[in-house]
Amino acid sequence: MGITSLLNLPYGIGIAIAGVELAWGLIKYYLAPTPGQRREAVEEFYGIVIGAILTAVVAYYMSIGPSIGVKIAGAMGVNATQIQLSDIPNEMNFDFNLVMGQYIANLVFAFAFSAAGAIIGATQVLKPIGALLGSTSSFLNAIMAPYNRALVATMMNTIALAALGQVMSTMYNYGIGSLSVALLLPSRTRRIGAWLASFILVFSILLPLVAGYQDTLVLNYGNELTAWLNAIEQQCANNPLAKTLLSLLSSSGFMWLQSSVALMLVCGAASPLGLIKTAASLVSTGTFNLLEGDIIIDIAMGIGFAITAWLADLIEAGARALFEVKHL
Amino acid sequence: MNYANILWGSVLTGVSIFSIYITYIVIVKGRLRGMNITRELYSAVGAFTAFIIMMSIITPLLGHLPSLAKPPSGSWVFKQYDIVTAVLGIVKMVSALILFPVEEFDTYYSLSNIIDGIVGFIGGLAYLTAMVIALYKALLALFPWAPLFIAIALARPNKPGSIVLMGIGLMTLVATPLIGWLSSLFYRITMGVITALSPPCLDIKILGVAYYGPGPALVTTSQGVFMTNGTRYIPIWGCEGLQVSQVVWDWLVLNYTYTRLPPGFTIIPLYNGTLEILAHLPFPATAIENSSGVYGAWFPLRVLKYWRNGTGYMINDTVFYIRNESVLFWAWVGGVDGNCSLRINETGMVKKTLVSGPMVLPIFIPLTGSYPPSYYYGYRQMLINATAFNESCIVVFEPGSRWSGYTVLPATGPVEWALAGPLNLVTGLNSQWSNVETAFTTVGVLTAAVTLLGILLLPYLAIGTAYLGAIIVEFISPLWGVISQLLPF
Repeated sequence: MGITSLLNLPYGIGIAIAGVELAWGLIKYYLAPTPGQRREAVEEFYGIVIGAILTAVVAYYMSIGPSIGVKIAGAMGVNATQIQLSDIPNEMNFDFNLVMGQYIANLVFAFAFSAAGAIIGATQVLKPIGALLGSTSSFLNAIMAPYNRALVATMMNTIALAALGQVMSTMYNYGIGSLSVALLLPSRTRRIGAWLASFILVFSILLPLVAGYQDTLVLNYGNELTAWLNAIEQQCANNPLAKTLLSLLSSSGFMWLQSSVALMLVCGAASPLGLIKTAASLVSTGTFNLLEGDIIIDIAMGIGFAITAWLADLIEAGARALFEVKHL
Repeated sequence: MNYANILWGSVLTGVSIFSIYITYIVIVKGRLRGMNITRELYSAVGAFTAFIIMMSIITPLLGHLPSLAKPPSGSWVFKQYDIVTAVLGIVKMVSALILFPVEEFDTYYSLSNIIDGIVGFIGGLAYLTAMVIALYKALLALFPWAPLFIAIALARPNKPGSIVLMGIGLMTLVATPLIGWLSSLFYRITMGVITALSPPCLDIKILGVAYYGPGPALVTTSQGVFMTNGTRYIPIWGCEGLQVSQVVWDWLVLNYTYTRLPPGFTIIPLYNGTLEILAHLPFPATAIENSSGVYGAWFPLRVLKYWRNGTGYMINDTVFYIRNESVLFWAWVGGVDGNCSLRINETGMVKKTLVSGPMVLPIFIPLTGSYPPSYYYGYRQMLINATAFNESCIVVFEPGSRWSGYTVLPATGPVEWALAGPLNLVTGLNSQWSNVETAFTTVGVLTAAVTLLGILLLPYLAIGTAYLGAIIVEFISPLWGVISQLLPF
């Protein structure tokens, strides 16, 4: 990264405050009436210079946090896509939509069967068909139960990560990272500055890492889902009746119906055994990976907050040692 | 997962953090600021030493700790769960198809409740097992870093963040092997339960039934039993053959023949043809039967003597009239009476048998429809010689106990498997329950106790590491003084 790109970083209000502090240091130095106060001013000025440098370093650090996170994840043997801080809310929103779509589809399937069963079953003649549909609904509910729980846990994680991403993104865009260092200089704002700096130091790396990991989990799940739909489709590739039904449904214009309901109903009915086998494979792999990922993310975030608290105290003590002016 | 790499990563990270921290204390605080750093330096050096000691102990130990075994497969648990629930789901569908046309709604809903119960139970168990396995995998990744968290907490012991880190570090150290043990235990239990429930195959078929003979009969097959009253279809496993082994009517074993007719059309993949059964007693008996059931049977086997104007005929299904005849009756009834000479001999002409319904928990038996009692009572199988010479005689056959099996739930193939599920679950779990209790108590109490104790003892641990640091610093300082005298700069 060259000097020009360094200048393009969003230092925001932090660098302005650092500038003001530098100017204030200069003014104090030139206006100091006694040699002792002038030495104090020099000492304070050095502190301010160090603070200004640190301000720039933190802004730079925030910009490279995601790549550091991915490298750490790689060193730990974890696959994680690299996501910039500002992209985390969008990526998490995309993941949330994908997972939510599947969750709703699962519930809609089950509800549709249940409702159709209730309506058809209301007529005496078609009662067996109604019961068949009702039991299909409970079958879907049962087989998808752990999967749905894992999807809910994943959705909650994506929401939390999106919210944190939004906060971090705003912090990055407004230069709050720089501001946090600038706030370390005056003793009155040192504590809040230390907490902010600690939060930024930890989560500039941890959040992109965790969000990248979550994104990879959802991506893998999407691949599993696609593979499942393909496997189901292949099952009825040689069944002319199923193919005709599928083409009829696809010509109705509902792509969602074609890809999901039609495949499950037509190809599933043509080969229930295949449907069970492929669904079991998808649900087992997808569910367990999502569950494991959810737990890892929860633990990692908990540790992140603990380290933030620990580091905040250390930064405050360090800032006090570095910037506190000894009154002569 | 390469634990050696993680450990080395942890050691290097820890050394880097402590080096920066100690350097910062010495240079910034001590030299530049001229502050008194003695206590802080002692604590930092002590914590660093404690960290090195911990990692030196754990590094060689980690590879030998038996409890840190490879995590069981959580995917396998879910896969088996899905297969079992899918088959149970299809059993429900098939049952709906069979029972609703004959308006056996209560029976269907009872079976449905049983299946829902099984699914709910093994679903909870599978989810719990997978969660514990997933937690174990997550803790396993954290395990090598636990000493680092503890050492960081010890470096600044009196801060809230340090307490949390100490808690995380200790909890990870203690809970990881315990959760590992718990996950293996749950895996074994789930595997045991699912294996006990495991269906023979995933191929479920519906077989049509055509029964010709005295009814209702209880048909025993290689895939379970069913009663013939109104049963038009039975569910079977497609991967297993079906042989009829016994046909019983009113505890009497019938002679039978059966044929498997192939399906006339193959559009519906579930349909597997028709089972045609022809059954009969050795003679055409008259059943004592009313709307509530079958109460026995009898048959005039032979007219032994015949006088002039002799006659004999049936008045109703319990009364036979004779005049000027001697008739030999076979009867399977509670008793016999008549206003003429009767000679009664017990006989075993027709084989009797015990019967049995499906293996279900007793609480479900009334719900799945009634099967006949296993053993008959109040019955005698008799040969009766009734003689009425120059007189009219009424022979009255007294009914036995009721052949009360009227369920239309065919407990065959998949349904038999589903009905036996709760029993298998209970049997499987009873043997494991004490282990489950012990596991929860041990893991919960130990983890909570050690974590709380560690957090409470943190200040004292900090004093310990401070003393350790003091000894090391005081030992190194004079040594450094000597070395610095020897250095030319």
